[in-house]
Amino acid sequence: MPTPYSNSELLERVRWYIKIRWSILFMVAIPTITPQFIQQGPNQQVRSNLMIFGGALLINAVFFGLSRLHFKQHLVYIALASAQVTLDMTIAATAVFTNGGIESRSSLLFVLPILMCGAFLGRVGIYVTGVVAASLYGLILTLDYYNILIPRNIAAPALHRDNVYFFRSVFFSVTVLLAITVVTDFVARLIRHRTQLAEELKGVQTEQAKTMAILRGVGSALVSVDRHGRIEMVNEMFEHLMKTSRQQVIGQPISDALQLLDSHGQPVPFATSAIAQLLNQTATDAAPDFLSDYYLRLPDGGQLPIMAHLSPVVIDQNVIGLVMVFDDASNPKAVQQLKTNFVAMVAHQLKTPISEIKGFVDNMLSGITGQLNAKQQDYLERIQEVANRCNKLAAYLLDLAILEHGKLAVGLKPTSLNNVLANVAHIFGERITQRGLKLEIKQTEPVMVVADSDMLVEIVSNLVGNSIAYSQKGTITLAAHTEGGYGTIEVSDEGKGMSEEQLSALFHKETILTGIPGSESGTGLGLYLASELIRLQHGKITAKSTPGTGTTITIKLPLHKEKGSNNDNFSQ
Amino acid sequence: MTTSANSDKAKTILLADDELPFRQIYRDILRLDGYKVLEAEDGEEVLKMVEAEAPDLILLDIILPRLSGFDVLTKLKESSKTKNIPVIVYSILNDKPEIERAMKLGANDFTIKGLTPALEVRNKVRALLNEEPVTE
Repeated sequence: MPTPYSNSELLERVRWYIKIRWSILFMVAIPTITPQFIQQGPNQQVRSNLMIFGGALLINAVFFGLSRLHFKQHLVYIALASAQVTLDMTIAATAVFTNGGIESRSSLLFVLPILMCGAFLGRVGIYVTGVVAASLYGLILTLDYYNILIPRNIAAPALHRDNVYFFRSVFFSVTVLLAITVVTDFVARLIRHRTQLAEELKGVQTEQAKTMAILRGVGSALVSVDRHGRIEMVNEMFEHLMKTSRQQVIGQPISDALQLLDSHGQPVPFATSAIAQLLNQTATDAAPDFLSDYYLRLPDGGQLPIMAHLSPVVIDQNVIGLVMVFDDASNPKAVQQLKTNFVAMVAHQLKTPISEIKGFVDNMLSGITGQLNAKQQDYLERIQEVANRCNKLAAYLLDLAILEHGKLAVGLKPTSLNNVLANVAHIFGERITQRGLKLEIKQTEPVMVVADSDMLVEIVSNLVGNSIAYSQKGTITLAAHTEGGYGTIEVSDEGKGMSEEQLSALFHKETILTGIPGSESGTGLGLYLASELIRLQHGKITAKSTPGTGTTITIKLPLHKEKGSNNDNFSQ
Repeated sequence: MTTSANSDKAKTILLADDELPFRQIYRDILRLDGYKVLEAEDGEEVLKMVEAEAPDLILLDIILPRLSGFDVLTKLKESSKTKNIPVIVYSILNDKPEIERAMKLGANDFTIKGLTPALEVRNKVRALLNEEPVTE
């Protein structure tokens, strides 16, 4: 029989059912049996009633015990619930039968199983039980009427043989039982619906409580206003920064509570402020806005420099309010954020003009604009090289800004260092020989590490690029081996090397601004970025160098532990 | 300098970019091979010109005003009339997810502004128009 309830819900209902049965057994049995016993003494009917009562008490005790146990299968709970209904049906039938169930009111004994079905089963269950109860009662009455199959000692009342009384009883009882079934179904559905609503409401309330807790706790000030610009909610940071309390501002127009000043300290009329504009826009035009270079007037007359985000709240295509989140712009973290955003923006903006320069120069070098003389060719190649360097710088700055913003995705997976070396060798092989240098790859074993392979190829390429730039002669060596728990890549050159001072400046962020002392172009940024990227992959990067002899840069990354997978990608 | 030796009607290429300098750069590259180059400045104009001129190939910038390159690509691939026109997307950013998205939407190839050399651009176009590659 289908049941719409979960195990725990069924169990809870079974327990209730058992409790109700305790009370009904006592409430029905004692008032019925006691007068019989007083009037008739311990005759057969009283004895059989006592037996039914005792049996019912015993079975209910067994169910009570079962309902304290925990089962895993849903089927067990369904069986337990169905057994309840069957038990009551049996008690009712037996009681009606032994008492010569001709009285219509004895049919009411069937009400309990029907009602209980409402608590356990779906609609089908309720109706099946109702029909079974009505049929069972009708059957008992019929058997009684014909006095067949009923071996009992109770003298059947004379009424049993009265036709009119018999049919009226059957009709009345069956109708009552079916009517009760319909009502039970209705009530059960009503209760189920209400329970669902209550649960949904509870879910909504829980979510709301969570959201409020998050909003109260965020490190930025937050204020939400309704469509009329009245403040609905502020958080603790708002109270702290604005030196106010929520009691003072909630319900106030935001134009009164927040006096916006421009960068010269002049008040911004509310009607022309971004807040008013956002509230007056249609949902399709309303876009989040960012304000910097504004101040808020504090209650003590002071000014608070802010960086603010404004977001419209849109429901069903209507702007129903807005949320403003702001930070104290003089706070160092906020300043850093602003700088990072600025760097990212500049880097992004630079890419377009640089690409344009490269495009035009490339066209001229391909002869699209006509034959070039040697000098022109030389100049254009230099311009192209400078543009390439600018492009690289912009790319580094952008990566750096993304890195500082914490948004750089690192895809760590088992990576063969041998493959990384092969990739890099493929990229640079030709360039290295063209420059009159030699490339040597040293690897005696397969080395598997956990790293972001694309990122690693990029980093090692960057190192090899540096080695090429600073080497006039000799060999560039790429080596891979294992050492302790690490896989190691080494990029060595026999170039001009670096002094102690240059070496110690190599991986520092400040080097971006100052450059590596005594070196001509800003490769420092690349190395700082490389060290940050390696750190993100749980690795280390170190450098050794002797002026005039060359430089070795070593990257260590955690080894991939799994055995057997090492040999797949190794090729010498 | 090579010019297309085809005596029959020159093939038409639609160049979609909102920035004039890039249109100039690519226009010059494409004219080397004797193509007729049409230009559009925003996504809606691209769709209008595709309708009116039925170009043989489209060079489509991803970042376009009014209708982005992605949207244009989706619309082109929806219509049975335009879905077979080869499209090369190009972008200022060497951004893998962006390129992958364009390729998934049905772009045939891609180039990066200022990074892909002119010769490579020409050969990508020629390959899609079933023409012999140039080497010089």
